[in-house]
Amino acid sequence: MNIIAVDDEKLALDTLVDSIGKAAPGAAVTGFRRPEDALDHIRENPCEIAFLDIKMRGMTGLELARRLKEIRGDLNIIFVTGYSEFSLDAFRLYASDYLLKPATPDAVRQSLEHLRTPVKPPQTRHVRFQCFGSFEVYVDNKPLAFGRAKAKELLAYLVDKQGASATMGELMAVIWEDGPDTPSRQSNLRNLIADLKNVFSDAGVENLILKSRNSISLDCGAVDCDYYDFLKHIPYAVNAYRGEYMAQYSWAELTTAALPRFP
Amino acid sequence: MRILAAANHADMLDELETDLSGLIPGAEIIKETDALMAGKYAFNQSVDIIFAEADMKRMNGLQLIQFVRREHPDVKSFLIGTEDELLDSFLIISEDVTGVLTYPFGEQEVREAWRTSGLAGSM
Repeated sequence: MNIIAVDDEKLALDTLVDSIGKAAPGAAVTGFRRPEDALDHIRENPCEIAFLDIKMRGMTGLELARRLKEIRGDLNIIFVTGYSEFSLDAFRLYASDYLLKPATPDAVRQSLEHLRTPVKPPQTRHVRFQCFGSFEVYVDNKPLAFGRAKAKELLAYLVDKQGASATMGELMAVIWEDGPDTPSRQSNLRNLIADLKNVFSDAGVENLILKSRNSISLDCGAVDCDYYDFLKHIPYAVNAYRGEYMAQYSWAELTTAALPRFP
Repeated sequence: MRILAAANHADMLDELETDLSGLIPGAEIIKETDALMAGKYAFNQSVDIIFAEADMKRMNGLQLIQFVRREHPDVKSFLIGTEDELLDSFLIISEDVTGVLTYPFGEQEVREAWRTSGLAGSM
């Protein structure tokens, strides 16, 4: 669990970081006295929870919360304030909770138990997809080897879908380039999906591929990916793009992102 | 003034460039057939106006406009698409988009979109 704490008063920040450390001993807690430093940090680093003082010089905690949520929409915000009248505005910004100063370890613990966006247990292995240039997969920074190239291609297509489901028919059309939908192809596809799951399972990665009755998808929240980071405005990813995307797959030049339709 | 134009086909961008050059003499027009490259450009350079085709690779036109607006909140934006896709998405796109252009379009349609967006008198 990655947590930031922001308060422009050193003593209050030290107290808050200490309380968070006691309430969540396994968490990585980083304290900031300048809101701008917190924004810079969150652009580059994973973070699930932010404890924010409301009344700060330069930028209020409410404004900081709004800007943090723009960067990480699933961030849990917990306001820490000496002023209870701020609570209404705070909750309008979808805060998980607010605490009155001084925030005690017990109060912090209770807030962490009622997060608006529950923090998923961390994947024990770090999975990273590289989409810019050739598509590659890394687990704990080591390239992942696939026995069958088509299994890797199947995974690339799921990455391209950004977590949206792909039906079996769609996958067959992509992997075998619109060849006939025969029982043997369907069987091959089932084997590819099983292979894919086994490759990850052998590498210690579970539950990355989500299967429903006639479709599969990828749990995008469990991975790092340069393409996803580009869409989140993370500078390293934006500047890493050189015009090549999953270069080994012809369909990657054709897939388009349609406009969302109003339901 | 710097205009970023992003569409799937270079031909369309060339036509748009011709139309815009007549409408806004002296404008610098950046053309991209790759939405991510267009986004990267706007991430690193200032942009005043963006034209984006709705149905693009890797990032649709609305995503591209929203991406650019995060860097340049005052950017004026035009989404290009079929009448159907723009109508279906109208309630979603209206907040971020200054105007729309539907296929097929030429100088007259670009001029009309420009006029109805209210930009004609402001720039």
